[in-house]
Amino acid sequence: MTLSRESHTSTSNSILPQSANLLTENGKFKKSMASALPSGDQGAAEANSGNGGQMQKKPFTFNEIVLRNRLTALVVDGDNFCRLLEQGILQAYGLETQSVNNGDAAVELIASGAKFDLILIDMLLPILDGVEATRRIRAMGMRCKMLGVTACSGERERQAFLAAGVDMFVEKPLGPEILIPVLRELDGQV
Amino acid sequence: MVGTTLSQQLNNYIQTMHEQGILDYHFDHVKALQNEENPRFVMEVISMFAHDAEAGIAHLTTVLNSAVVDFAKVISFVHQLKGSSSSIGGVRMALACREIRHACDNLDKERWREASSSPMRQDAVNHRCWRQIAINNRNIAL
Repeated sequence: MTLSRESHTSTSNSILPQSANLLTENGKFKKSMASALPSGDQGAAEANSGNGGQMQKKPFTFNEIVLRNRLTALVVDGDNFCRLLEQGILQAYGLETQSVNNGDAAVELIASGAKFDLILIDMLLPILDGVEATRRIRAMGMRCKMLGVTACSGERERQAFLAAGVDMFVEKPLGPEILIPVLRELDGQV
Repeated sequence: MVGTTLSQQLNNYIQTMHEQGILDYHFDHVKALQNEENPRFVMEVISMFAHDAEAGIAHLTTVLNSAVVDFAKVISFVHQLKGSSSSIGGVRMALACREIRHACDNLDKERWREASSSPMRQDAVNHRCWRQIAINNRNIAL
């Protein structure tokens, strides 16, 4: 597999800061019932326990969807922080992930034969932008789910990205209200 | 217990940021990524964001204070800052970036001066909040 210069590709078990490895050896997400960081929501729930029936806010968990199948994802984002965070979120849902930091590397990765169930791709990317990268990936026959996840919010950008071939245009951040239905569909749970 | 006190302080600080509209629910998603196997993940993510945001705001300030403003650079810095801040739940910073971006798109000098002056102060406030969260997180982990 040949990658373009300056490209950065990382696989799921070595991309997060320091010891933040969310996957076990067999690629399954390590889910823990306890959180090292106390939840403000838990505190609020405790505070409201004797409040006479007031609605308690349910703390967010990644257990809302449990994947039955092995799903793979590619994250294409030129910003290190966003790339790491999106990978972390996908891994938390149980996906195996890879990432690259520019459009050219994404195209070369697909051209090398790599296959993914899901691709998250930003619009503004170094070397080759997300729109052109998407166009080339689709031209290679890749029919996987592609989400254009970008900080861009204009209608012109949205139309351009959709025309290039992304299935959805998502203004950052990629929230569970969008991601969970996509994962359910990919996992055959719909 | 010192650890409990720090945890409660952090919870209270985060709650305050929610109430002030600095954070939205996406921060809860980021926080939920932390577990026993990865106790430092959220701290590292927040620290990374605080560092990158500080650099981004510094670059933006320099460009905006130039005699001749390079709007393309402003758009580039603001775009990156908007993406990262919205991803971590920093809604107020993201909104400020959006306002600056709109003003740049329209090349409305009056609007971007207004948009950049107030949000830049807000960004400075927001940035201090993120650094405080990162510090509190680090103290709890130690």
